[in-house]
Order: sequence, then structure tokens, then C-alpha cells
Amino acid sequence: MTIAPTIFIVPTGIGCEIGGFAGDALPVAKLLASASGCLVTHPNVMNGGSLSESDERIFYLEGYSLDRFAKGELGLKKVKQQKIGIIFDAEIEKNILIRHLQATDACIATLGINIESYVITNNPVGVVLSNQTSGGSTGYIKNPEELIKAGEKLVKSGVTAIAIVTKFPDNLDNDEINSYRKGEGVDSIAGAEAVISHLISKYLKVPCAHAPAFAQIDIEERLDPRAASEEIGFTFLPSVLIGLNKAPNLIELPSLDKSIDLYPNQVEAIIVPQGALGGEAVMASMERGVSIISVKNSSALNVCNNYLNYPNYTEVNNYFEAAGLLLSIREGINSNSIQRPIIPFSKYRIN
Amino acid sequence: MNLTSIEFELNWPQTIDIQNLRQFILKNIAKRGEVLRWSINNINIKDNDINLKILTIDAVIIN
Repeated sequence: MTIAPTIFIVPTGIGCEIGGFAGDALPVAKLLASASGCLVTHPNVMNGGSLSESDERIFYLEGYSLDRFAKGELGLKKVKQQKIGIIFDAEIEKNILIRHLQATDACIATLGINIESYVITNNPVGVVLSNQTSGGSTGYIKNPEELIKAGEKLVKSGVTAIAIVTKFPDNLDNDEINSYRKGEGVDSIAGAEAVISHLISKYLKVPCAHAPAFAQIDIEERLDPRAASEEIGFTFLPSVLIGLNKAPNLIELPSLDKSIDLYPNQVEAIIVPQGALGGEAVMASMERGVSIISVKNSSALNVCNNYLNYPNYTEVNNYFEAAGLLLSIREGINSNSIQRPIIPFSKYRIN
Repeated sequence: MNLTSIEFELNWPQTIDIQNLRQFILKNIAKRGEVLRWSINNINIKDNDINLKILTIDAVIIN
């Protein structure tokens, strides 16, 4: 059976109803992987704190590298297993660090993941959070070179993928955190997380993903199920390690490497929330004429196709419809043939 | 190396089509620094004219 390689994006930190919480788009990713036979997606979709899954049909790709793939700059090569290294922020307290080292032990002992070594930054990374006027979350770090130097040490030691754990501020806005835990708001740390992993991807060019480190917070009895996977352990590291375990190698294009498993020009569709068409991967896909399937999935953004007028665009009501559309692409069935009314062929004359 | 989070508005000229919009935005971000992460986070229509679009760009830049 042929495949229809597809990119699936739920942008980080924009409060999507599906995928705006703790890996709560993962079931959708499994459905779309099943429909397409080959899905490229990113940690915000797959990482659910302590929970995640790997799937032979899913390529796990950090956002910066996913953008580069969509731009045609990278090919993806499957691996049996990555050699993972971990960067820990020097600001992480001893007890929290021990929890993370034990979570790593669990991933080695129980899941068989190959985690080779870790590095603690020389100085705190200094995470700073902020909000965009759109309502999305963003941020930056005060000492980016600390992360890069630590990552360079790991790569020099033979590590092929990097997990990053940074300390997030203890004085987070309680209202924002409480809203998020009740399923009402934007994930206020997600934007800064994306900046951290983008930095490692940009400078070290290896698979990577980020987990935040926090002090334990009080129980929230009205917890939204979509945020629950972040409440069942002491760290968010396991999902990152599960994702990186079989994350593909990133091959710079053009390349003479004949063993690349997925080239950008094989991608047939990109699936993205309706109001989130303004990201680089989507815009690069528009340049390449890729089919865009836009799904109603409310968020803080309203960057829709009625402003952009991209012609190869289909809007669907939910991810079930998106999966059906992918199947029709995969099987070579004209999707117009399945919908009613059918426009008479006489209307299609080109003058 | 410093990272800075910026937000700015950018007029989308009618002469730039959707296939060239990304490069147009990147050139404008590059005037402020080397880009790490960016997106269009809003589009406004000016004076009710669909041809006068103002983009709100959010970016994290390196300088």
C-alpha cells in the first residue's frame, strides 16, 4: 500500500482546544499516521509529560528542524535507536535533579532507551516568559551560550540526540497556571520551551526536545483531563526520552546519502489548525504547492485562509474528516467524488 | 549572544504573492536580528480594503 507523507502541526503555546495541553493531540497523531501511513510531527503533539508513545509511522521532529524539513533543507533517516544525552540547567534544585535522574533510570530500565550521559550547565540558563498580544505564549533565555556549550560537550562525547531540562520560574502567574490546568487557557511556558529547543536544533543540528523542571505544585481537584498527563509524575522528561529514542537523523540536503527514508518533496499534505496558517512550515509548504488541510481547532490565533487565499486548501470540521481526506489522497480517490453536490463537468472549461 | 522577543506590524504589499510572503517577512525580521523563531500572529484589514493587509509578526531574534 502506498503512503501519503503528511506533516501534522499544532503550534505550541497558542491554546488549541486539541493539542494545546499535555500531549493531548497524540491520539490524533496516531489516527493521522494510520490514515497517511507516514506522519511528521513535533514534540508539542507527542509529549504528554510522563506519557507518550512511539509509532513506526511517525517521525518525531523538533519544531525548528520541522520548519527546515518543510523548507526542503533536511531529509529524514530512520534509526534503530538514538544515543541520547541530557542537558540539565544549573538552576535545578538537587531534589528535582535527583527526580530527573531517576526518571532517566526508569526509561533505561523499563523502556530500554539508550541514554548515555548528561551535562549540567556551568551557569543558570535563565528562562524568561512573556505573552504575545495575540494571547499566545513566548519567551527567551538569558544565557543561550550555556545551553549551546553544554550541548557541544554531549555531541563531542558521541551523543546523537539531546534532551534539555531547564528550570522554569517558581513565580509563574497562578491565574494562568490555574486556567491551564482547568482547560481554559494557554500553556504559558510552551513558547519559551520552543525557543530553547529551536536554539539547540539551530546550532547543533541533532534531534532534540525540551522538558521543563518545576517544584511540585498543589493538587488541583478540577483538573482538565487534557492536562492530566503532567500531574502523574515528578518530571516531564519521560515523554521527551520516548520521542527522542527513535527520532530520525537529520540529513542536510542536498545529500548523496541513499538511505534517506523521507524527503521533503514526498510530502503530500500538511494538517494545521484553521487559524494557525502563519507559521514557517505552513508558509514554506504553500511555496511548494503542498495540499493544506485546515481543521477547526479553536486557538488564540485567527490567521485564516480568507486573508491568504492559498488555492490548494481544504477546510474540514474535525480530525476524523482530515483522516478521511488523507485516506482519499493516499488511495488516489478524488475527494470531490465523495461529496455532494458534484459540480457538472461542463463548468470546468478553461477559456 | 542575546535572545530578544519582538513583535512588529508589517504592511503586506499587493505586489507580494503568497508564494513570496515568507521571504518578504524574513527579510524584514533580518533588519532586526538573526531569526530563531517567528510566525504571523494576526492579520488586520486596513480601511475595510481587503488589499491593505497588516501582518503582526512575532519573533525571537539573536543579536
